Amino acid sequence: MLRRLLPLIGIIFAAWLLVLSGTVIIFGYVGHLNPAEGFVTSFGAAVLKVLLGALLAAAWILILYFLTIWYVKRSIKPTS
Amino acid sequence: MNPWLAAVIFLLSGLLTYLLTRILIKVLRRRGWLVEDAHKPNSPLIPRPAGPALIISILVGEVILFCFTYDVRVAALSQSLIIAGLIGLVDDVKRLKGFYKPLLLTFASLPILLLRAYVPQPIFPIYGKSVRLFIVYPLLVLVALPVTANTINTIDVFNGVVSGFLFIASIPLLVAFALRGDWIMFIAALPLLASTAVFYLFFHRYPSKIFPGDSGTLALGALYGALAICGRAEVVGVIALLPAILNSFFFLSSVKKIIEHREVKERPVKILKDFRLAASTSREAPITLTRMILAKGPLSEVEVARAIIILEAIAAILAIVTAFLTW
Repeated sequence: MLRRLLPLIGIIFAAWLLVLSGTVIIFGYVGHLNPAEGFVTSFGAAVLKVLLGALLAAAWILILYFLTIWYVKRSIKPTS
Repeated sequence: MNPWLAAVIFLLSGLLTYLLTRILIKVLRRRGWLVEDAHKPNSPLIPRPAGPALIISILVGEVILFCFTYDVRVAALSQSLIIAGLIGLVDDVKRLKGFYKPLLLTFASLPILLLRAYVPQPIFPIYGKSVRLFIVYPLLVLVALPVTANTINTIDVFNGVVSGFLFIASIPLLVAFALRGDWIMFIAALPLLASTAVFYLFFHRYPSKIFPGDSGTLALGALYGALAICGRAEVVGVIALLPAILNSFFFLSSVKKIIEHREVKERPVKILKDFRLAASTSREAPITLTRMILAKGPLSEVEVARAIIILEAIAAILAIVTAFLTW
């Protein structure tokens, strides 16, 4: 059973690492972006942070998506 | 922490789950509220939903805790539990369409927002410090409960899975609360642990005597999300739910729209003549956690359920590691 689950455990582990690294990047670096006063408003800075965060989330989703597709294509041979 | 209060709440929630579910099984059978268990020979009829018994059992524990602490977080998560449970009950009686359910479930987030039972400064692992998210956090709260409720709802696929899954998933939350010394949230999570444990052991594990229904799964999922938010264990909660989150992710990324599982034309899993389960080989079939587990060959229902529980146990270990990294 454990052998069968190993690829899925790998995907869970990858997702865990992505969450950890993602939060460090978003909140350790992106969150600290503070453009000088007058350059953009605090709302603009918040929007920028959200956009960068969303970009990272999109990358996160794409990595998991391709991992899933790779596993499914490797394991299940389509008939129709 | 008051260990007597914790013990009373834990035992009372467990005992009530046992008694109320037994009563509910008889009532549901008498009223004919039965559904087919399609994965077994002759498709036996099983009572559904057990949601009201689970909700009342947990609610009693939370009300007692509130009477002793007057903590607004306990009030908020109790209300979220009730709202999600009521939406689930409507779904049990009259099927809600795929998109309406998450939309309605945003109401379950409102008590947390209106009672200000959250701190918009989540603590992240490794990074360690809390992050100020005053604008984004309330929006995340609004989305979080529908996501956790629906995610738990989608993992309710085989006998014993959702109850066993939530029992294991609640352990990392307890560890996170204990590490931070937040004993009120620790005790607030005990009714979930007790109810899911009793429900799994006596009623839901293979062969199930009753199904939780959407009222049960949505209420428990929303409560889980509320506990993680109010207890500031958001990341730990996300990691603990990873197998269920990935299941939703696999499904949505293959179907590419929000629809109910029963609306799917091509089933991801087929039942063989010997009642073992096999992965569908059709290109149109959605990808689910079960289909991925079955990718390497057929398994019995009990084996698939055990596989999901093993994956959840691994996610729970990772969540506990995350709790220590957040500490």
